[in-house]
Amino acid sequence: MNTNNNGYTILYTTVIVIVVAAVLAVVSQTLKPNQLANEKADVISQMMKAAGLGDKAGFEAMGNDKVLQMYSENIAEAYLINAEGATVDSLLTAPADKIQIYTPSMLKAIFKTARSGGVPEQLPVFKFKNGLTVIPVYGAGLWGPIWGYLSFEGTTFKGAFFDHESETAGLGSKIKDDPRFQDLFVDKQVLVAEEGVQFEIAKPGAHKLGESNGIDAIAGATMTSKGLNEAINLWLGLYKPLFTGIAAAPCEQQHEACEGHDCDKEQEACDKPCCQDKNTEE
Amino acid sequence: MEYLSLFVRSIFVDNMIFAYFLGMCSFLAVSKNVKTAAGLGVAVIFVLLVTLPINYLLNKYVLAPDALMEGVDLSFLSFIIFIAVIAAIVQIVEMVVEKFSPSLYSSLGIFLPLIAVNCAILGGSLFMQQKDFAGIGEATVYSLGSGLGWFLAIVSLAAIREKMSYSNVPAALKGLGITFITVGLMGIAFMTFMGINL
Amino acid sequence: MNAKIKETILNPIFKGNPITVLVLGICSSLAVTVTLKGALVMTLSVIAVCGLSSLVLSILRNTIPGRVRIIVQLVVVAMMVILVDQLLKSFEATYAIDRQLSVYIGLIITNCIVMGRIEAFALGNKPWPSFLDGIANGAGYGMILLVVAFFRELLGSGTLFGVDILGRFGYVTNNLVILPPFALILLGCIVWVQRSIQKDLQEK
Repeated sequence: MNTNNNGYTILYTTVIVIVVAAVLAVVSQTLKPNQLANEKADVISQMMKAAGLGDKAGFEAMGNDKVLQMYSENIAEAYLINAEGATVDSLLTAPADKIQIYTPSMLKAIFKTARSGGVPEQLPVFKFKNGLTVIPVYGAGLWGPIWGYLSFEGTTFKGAFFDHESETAGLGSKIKDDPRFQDLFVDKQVLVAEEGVQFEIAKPGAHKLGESNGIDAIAGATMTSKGLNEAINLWLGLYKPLFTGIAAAPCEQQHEACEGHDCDKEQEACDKPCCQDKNTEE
Repeated sequence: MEYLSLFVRSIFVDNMIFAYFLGMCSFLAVSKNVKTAAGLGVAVIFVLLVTLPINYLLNKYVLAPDALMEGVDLSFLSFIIFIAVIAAIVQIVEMVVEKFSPSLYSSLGIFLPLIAVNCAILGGSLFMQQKDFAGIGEATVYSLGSGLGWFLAIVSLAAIREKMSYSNVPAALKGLGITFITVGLMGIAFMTFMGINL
Repeated sequence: MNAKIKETILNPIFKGNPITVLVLGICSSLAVTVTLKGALVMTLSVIAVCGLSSLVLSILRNTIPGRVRIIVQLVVVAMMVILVDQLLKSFEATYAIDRQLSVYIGLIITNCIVMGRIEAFALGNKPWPSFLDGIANGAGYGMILLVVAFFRELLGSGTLFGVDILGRFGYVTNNLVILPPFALILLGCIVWVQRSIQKDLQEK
């Protein structure tokens, strides 16, 4: 057979390309539901890891159904707020196949809007029955995107979980792989100030905020830590109403928050009107 | 400033060889002397510079979700489209060079078919997709930077290997073995660029 | 099984190992060897892609037009890689691994082992031996991958397949081992060992 004439070459290439494209289109369409289900279960298990539910290492072996079931059992409500903090819509939390979540690609859209100076219209908030509120963060690390979830009680972190696409194994990847790093967040506080809501990940000795408002960066992963710091501050800023709402809570509650703090040393943290009252009382 | 920092970053920090270890096959095979290494390096720069912007446009206007039509997601085809573009461009470049500059062809020619299967080229396109550049300008700067980084890596390794032929290396480690270890050490040296603030 | 087929299978795994002897397919061997699990999934993917592409192209070998040979090969290989990638994404057990391996699965396309075996073997042999040759070369590649991953996970994280081994003896993990350049140094040592045993492979 003469396989070298032009007509044959063109025909052959066309047929191959069409066959390959058809096979791939069919396969990709058939597998899409599975892939989406996997992504959903992955996102949900990350949120639950942040909220301190279940065993962090145990999720992988759980299977999608159990993850979804655990989520429905533990979630109190999930809703969308706008930049002013008003609830604009709710997210379905049951039944299992209708659960609505925010995937990293949806977070990326919010991140892009916010970074270019725009105001995102909708921000997801997840409230769990254990009293913790979970919000997402998304930003850029050294090599690629990083994202994750933070859980709060009031203005205090109660847990964190991060993921990344391609940070350096053994250095930047610690934001995901090292539970010790994630545990640093526990019981630290965000700083609700005039300029916005702040938290700080910085090298030891380079902290500008108070000790309770920051954690140490990962040694050897300067850029990843910096990216995570920027991401967290950007998103805390977006969710400001969530925290200022808390800051404007009754005075009693704030006195509670000040209890145990050395108000002289931690001026910033206790620089709220109620606190000053308390200081003068003392 | 953005472009400059991206450029410097893609040469040193995101170095194709030392940070990602892409294009190792030809990197190890063609680094015995500086002259041929430089030839291959130039060919890689050139092919990256041509294919990456084309793949960027394809990715942005055809492959990305909702790019071609609302609700159409062709991203599963990206591997195949990217590699087809690369193979086609390499073939075209080869023909053009052969026709118009026989002298360049005789020095570059043998490397061109090798380049279609050089991971650094496909890797460049895949990283471009992952990094999600804002415009074709950034993609082009990135492709130039990555190409230069690869060039730099292969030429410096070739220089070290030329000198190393005078060293007393254990027989079993000669050639491939010591080259692996050398590249590993060079990689560690390049890791120092990772913390640079750009 | 006749001797020739046996030779086809065994040669790539030891004497003609694609990584340490033919110097093919090193790119992806470094990034995916931080954990044994990642290395295992990568190994299986490469074996599948290598075997199936060799099979398909060997069946088509007499019909492929010479001028577009490389493109046809790349298209077939890319198809196999996409299939593997899509499958990994859709199983619960492998979803997380696929995310971790991300671009490196895609880079199997340009893994020189696959293309190299197609050019050197599949285009000149019948489908069945080609299929075996593909699988054997994938396995030879995978063996090195697993050896490297074994040491990197054991020394870098103190675990094997995620199960704590050295940690319980108070082992302090060595971060250098997890960093990518160390994979190369380890590869160099593997080559050293292999060439000390098989003296005929030594370079002058």
